[in-house]
Amino acid sequence: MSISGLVLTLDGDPPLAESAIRVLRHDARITLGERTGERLAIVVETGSRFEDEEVYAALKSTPGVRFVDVAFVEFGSGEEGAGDADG
Amino acid sequence: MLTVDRRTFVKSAAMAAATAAAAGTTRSFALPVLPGSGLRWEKAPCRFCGTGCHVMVATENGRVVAIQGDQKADVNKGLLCVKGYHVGAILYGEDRLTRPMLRRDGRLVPISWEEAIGIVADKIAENPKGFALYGSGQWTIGEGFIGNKFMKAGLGSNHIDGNPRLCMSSAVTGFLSTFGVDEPPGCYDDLDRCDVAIMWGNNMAEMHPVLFSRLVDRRTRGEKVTIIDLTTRRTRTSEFADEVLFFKPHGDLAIANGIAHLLVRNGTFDRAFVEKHCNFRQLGPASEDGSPPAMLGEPMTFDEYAKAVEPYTPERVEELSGVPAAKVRMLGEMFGRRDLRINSLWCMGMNQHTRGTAINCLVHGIHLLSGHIGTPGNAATSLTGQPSACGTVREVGTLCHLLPGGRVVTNAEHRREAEELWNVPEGRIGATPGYHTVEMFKRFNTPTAEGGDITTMWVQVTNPGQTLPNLYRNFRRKKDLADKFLIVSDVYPTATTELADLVLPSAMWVEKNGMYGNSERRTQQWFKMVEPPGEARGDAWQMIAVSRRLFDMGHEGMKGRDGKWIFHTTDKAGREVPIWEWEHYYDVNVDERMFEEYRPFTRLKHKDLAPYQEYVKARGLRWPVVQQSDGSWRETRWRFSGFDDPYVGKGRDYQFYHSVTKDDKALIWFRPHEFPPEMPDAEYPFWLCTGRVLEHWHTGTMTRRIPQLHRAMPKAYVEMHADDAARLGVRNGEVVAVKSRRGEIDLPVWIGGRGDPKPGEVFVPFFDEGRLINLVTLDEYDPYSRQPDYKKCAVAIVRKA
Repeated sequence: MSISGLVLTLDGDPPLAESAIRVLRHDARITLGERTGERLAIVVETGSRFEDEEVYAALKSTPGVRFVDVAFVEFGSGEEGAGDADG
Repeated sequence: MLTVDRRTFVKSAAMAAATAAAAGTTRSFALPVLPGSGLRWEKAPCRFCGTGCHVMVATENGRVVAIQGDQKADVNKGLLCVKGYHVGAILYGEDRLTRPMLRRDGRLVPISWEEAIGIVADKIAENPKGFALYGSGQWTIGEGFIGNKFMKAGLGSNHIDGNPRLCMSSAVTGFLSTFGVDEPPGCYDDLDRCDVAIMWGNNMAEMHPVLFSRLVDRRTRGEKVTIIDLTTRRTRTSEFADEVLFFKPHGDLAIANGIAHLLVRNGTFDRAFVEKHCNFRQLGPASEDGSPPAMLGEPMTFDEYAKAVEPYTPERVEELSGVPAAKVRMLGEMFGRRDLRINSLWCMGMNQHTRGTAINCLVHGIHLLSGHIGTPGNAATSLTGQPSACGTVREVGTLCHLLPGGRVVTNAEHRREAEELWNVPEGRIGATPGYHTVEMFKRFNTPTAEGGDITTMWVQVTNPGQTLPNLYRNFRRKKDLADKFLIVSDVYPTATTELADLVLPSAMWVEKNGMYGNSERRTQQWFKMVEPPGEARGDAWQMIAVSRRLFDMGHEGMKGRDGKWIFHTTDKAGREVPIWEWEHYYDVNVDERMFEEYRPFTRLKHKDLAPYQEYVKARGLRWPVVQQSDGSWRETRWRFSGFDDPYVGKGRDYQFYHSVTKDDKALIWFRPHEFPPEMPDAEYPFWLCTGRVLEHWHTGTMTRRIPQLHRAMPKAYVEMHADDAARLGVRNGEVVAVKSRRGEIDLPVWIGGRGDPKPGEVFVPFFDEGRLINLVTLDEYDPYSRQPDYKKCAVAIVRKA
């Protein structure tokens, strides 16, 4: 289980930003929070850190999302660190 | 699995943090504490780059369990980048080094700390002059101070240098040449106030993403911020830029001179500012022995300066740089406007440059010439890549020519002051600079009988086996030299430990007390939060233990004027604390003890630091930090500016009070355009540029052990333009050889890639220890900063059979 709080900076073009929000709404792992201007608070809850990273990567490439910043990450619930980087 | 209660709690905490960060700093936000848990939140600066973001670190049962952007931190205002997001996980890679290990019969075998410390002390005692210490901008301030004192005041040797030599020493020589003192006049607040941000070979969106988001965020609030990307390749920063201006390698020298030309020719320079606050300089002639002209040059008049920049017409600049003349005019006109606030930002592109000092001086010069300096939003901002390149290396002075607080070993008065403050006998500190990084490693990698007079090296907190240029020559030859002894203190196995004779396991980040200094003169403090794994111990303790062993062996250098050990430490009752014994190291706060010894050094150059306890309360303070009449301590955001800097004389608008010319004026330099020392030719037809990627920090020793980051960017690659790939007949993902005159490596091709290089250029990131691009790079360096150029050399791309 992995939970993180992210801040998305949405595109300045309103239709593009809205289309991004529509995409996010359809992802059960994402809870939308308050929007302040072009910045949107979300929480991502996934089954693993790997999945968490996949969601992060997908968010970065979602049309209408310009930046993904991180405000909170919890990673103390069982998964340990990685092994040798080249392993 | 998380329990429902805990899950609900953590989720609400995550949403609260994100909501507060999205809204800016106007909302109150309380850190989550799970009822009934042992969760404890404490502040720390992020372990990675030089931005200096603050994180809140949650620990529970002796482990770091959560990270949150610190809402109270001015630098990042609650936000973090993807690396900061995962910073807690760097402690928990499965292959952490946990025991000292000595190479015997080719294999590293565990030994005791007692034996390890004895080996290091014996090696130093055998040949003190042949011993060198190589540190980094990841050393804490305390570690750097201990290392510097150990070497310069203890061993009387200046053979101490650090990896910032490879990343920002050209920024140092640029500041020294221009202002007579190191480090930027402005601060990050300039990002919030500028109208125009110019990236000089600087991929800020990926390398300093939190700072870049401060710029982009202003746009989301409806403010107009023009971003100009001067670059050799398209990057993520280019996507946000209003203008993307591609230039040829070393074309930046021509562009800066072109802007100066237009300011002079059009009469749009700030005549009043220049007359009141600036002098002009150029280099003198080269000496007959081939050594470069003196760094601080010779005076020139304004008329001579105007004549020097006269040839840099927009058309000539276009020829030299590739930037269209119309765009050069646009830049010149922009600098000529008083109603715009302009912030130039740079990092490795200008620093890793064989004319790094020159381009740093030229960019400062156009800001001075146009008066775009010293008021909020008008700044020339040098960014750093390591968390304490400024605080430790530049300020504490852990380079071979420096002493703490901006002093230099070649100045007799500076040596005398340092000997006084360190309480060591007069004459202890050597007057000759030690070996700079490339020279130090060259000598270590040269047989002793052939003049390789560095025989033992101790490397701490860095990975030169991956970062040095021309690695065959400068690092890997050691493998065949039996009379060389390499000691490496680190947290994970690296390309450097691979050749080490002795490996010492280190504590890292919140496993120890520490202080860092970031790119905007901000000094930051944190406390130890968790225990290091196994037998790992802090780097500061390691040096202290070796120093004490030498003292016990009767080494005179480890004694002060009073005959006591140079790191003699007492408790509040005045009793000596045996901090050389690990079990007693934390009986006192050694970091505080060292910091208070260091503080008096900082006043000479007006880099005043507050008492340690002030930093405990703050999210960093920007120096000079000066005590007010009410006893409080005030930081300085804009140095040399009368409205903010307490050291500017009363009634003066600006005062460059450490000026080279001793008249409170800064220097505007003329430095000509020059071509790089190695350029593509028929045999090696491509330009090679190297650098970083968003997911990995430097050599990847920490970030490659974080599964998410490793998966996102697992291996290095060579980015290539589609036209070049088609001409060579290579497909995406095909492995090619990247060859230079120095070496070669195999890499998969990424057509276009993230950076989308121009035809004739390729880019390779340096984070991958399995694919060492520095086997290929050039070890030519700037003659003043001695910083190598990793951004341009000539290579061939060869298809594999």
